[in-house]
Amino acid sequence: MAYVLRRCLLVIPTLLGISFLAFAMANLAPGDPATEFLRRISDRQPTPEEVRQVREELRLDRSIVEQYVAWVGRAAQGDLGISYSTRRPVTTELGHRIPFTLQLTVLAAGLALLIALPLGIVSALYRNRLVDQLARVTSLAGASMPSFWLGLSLIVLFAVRWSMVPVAGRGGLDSYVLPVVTLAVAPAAVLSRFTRSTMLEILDDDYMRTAHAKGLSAWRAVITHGLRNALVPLLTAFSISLGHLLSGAVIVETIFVWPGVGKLGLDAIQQRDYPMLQGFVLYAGAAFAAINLLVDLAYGAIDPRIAAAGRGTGGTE
Amino acid sequence: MTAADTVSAGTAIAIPTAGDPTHPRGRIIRGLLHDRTAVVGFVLVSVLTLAAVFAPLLSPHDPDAVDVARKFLAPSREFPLGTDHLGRDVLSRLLFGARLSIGSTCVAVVFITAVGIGVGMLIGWFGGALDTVFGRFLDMFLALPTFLLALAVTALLGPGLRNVMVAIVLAWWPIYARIVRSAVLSERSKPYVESARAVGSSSARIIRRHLLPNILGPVIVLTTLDLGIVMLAISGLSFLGLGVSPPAAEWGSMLSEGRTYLSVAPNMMFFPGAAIFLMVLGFNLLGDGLRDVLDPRTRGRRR
Repeated sequence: MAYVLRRCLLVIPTLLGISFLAFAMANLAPGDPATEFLRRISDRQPTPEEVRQVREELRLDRSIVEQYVAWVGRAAQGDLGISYSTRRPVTTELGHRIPFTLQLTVLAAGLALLIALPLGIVSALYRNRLVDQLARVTSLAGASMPSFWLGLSLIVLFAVRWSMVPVAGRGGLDSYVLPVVTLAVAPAAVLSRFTRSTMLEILDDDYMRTAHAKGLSAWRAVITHGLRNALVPLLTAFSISLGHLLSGAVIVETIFVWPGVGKLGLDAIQQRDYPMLQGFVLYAGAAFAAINLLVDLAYGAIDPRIAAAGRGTGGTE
Repeated sequence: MTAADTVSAGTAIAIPTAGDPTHPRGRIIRGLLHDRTAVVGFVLVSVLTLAAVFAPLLSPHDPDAVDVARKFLAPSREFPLGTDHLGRDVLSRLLFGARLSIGSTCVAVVFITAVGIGVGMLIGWFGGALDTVFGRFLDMFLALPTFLLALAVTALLGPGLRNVMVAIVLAWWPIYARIVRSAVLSERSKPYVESARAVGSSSARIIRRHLLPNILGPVIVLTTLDLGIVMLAISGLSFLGLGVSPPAAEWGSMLSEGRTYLSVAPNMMFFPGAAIFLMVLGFNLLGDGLRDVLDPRTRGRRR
């Protein structure tokens, strides 16, 4: 329990870092935030009276520290300001878009695991044989593949040339195929390489030799003893690939015109929509922190040695 | 690999006297030559780099010469990779684009490594309060996935290749600083450092002569692998319209232009992407090979 508590407390500095970054984004932006806000919201030059009122509301006349505290206070209550481009609350916009990104990333993470685990295990079991060589070349190619190139090439082949799936946008189930595949390739490649090297280390361990000695087949041994011990390092790799997925979603959603948060964030950058951009940074940081927290807590649950040792191995090693 | 090799490598690491520098270097090069994947990687990287260097000699056309009359041409003898929406030769733009793409990647990685090693060594060596403060500071950088952090910083600085490079360096150096820091922490208490201290070497001398050579191996592997990742990040940001602005040729922005004409001229999108892919693959193959040669733990396993 102490482990869980301690790990949860470690999230605080991370969230602070994120909030500094997001806060800086609005303050480093050119122009007076109050004037900028009024002009973008109403399409006309604001009166001095209006500007004064907004400055008061946003505490812009106070010190930077007070401004930050006020901003964090509002953010904590779910008030992230109003988007310049849609003129609706940033929180509402994020709320609409997050589920679409979530669908994409969860499916891609699942697909990546489905490809990577068997591939990595086969590679390790048949080390340096033809299957292994092929698997390694494939995963290295996957890790080197620019997702924007892969996505566009898939569109050209499957949507433009063969009309099997829609070119872009979110519609029926068939519209999920290309984005999910594009998003899954890089994490699958990284994960399968990692599975292979982890399995290779484990295959040399004493308990695996014992398993062989008592007559278990190679596959039985891997599944009953090997995988369990590979779980912690694999989880680390998985949490890293989830970070890849968060980044990859921006590019994949742009290519496939997917109505997710990644596309929202990129549009915000292009339209200089600073409140929206802040919201995007906060969302990405919170999601990343949540993933790392869940993974670290899972370590403790899987391997009691980690919880007992006090500090987790952390998701960054 | 024989046991004797492993032993000699072990002693080469344990006794970091200046000694004969050709010996370990020769071993690394010989090791790499035995590694087929590393050779392929080296060939890919050097061919593409040479193509970038000799772009003016190799290009059949002026990369910026616009001629709308010959737009969207399929690959032919005159235009080996076809032409784009403005009738510019895709091959020539690819060759000149290699300069920006490879050049910006290498410059960014050099800065990342230099800043990361410098800061990491300082906080690892002097430790104490410096380490605590900087440790928290570094943690803040790791609160976002690096690509997203670079994206956010670019958004702040505004578009442009220089800003993208600054953003990439800002987002990436903390990773190196952390790795170097923990490497220094684990080396610091080893006997060779203590004996150097005992004979009265200054901190600066120990760091330069003893610590640096010992942590350089893992850092070189990381750098080679990161060249690929950084190239993907820079071209990705350019693809998103944040890097190089259109008239200049760069692989990511060429892809971005090609995206508009997917169904008319897929060659506009295909070739720059293939170039990025091959270059990144080259870096990855080379990095993998280097790791196998430099990391004594994986050495015995190879064959």
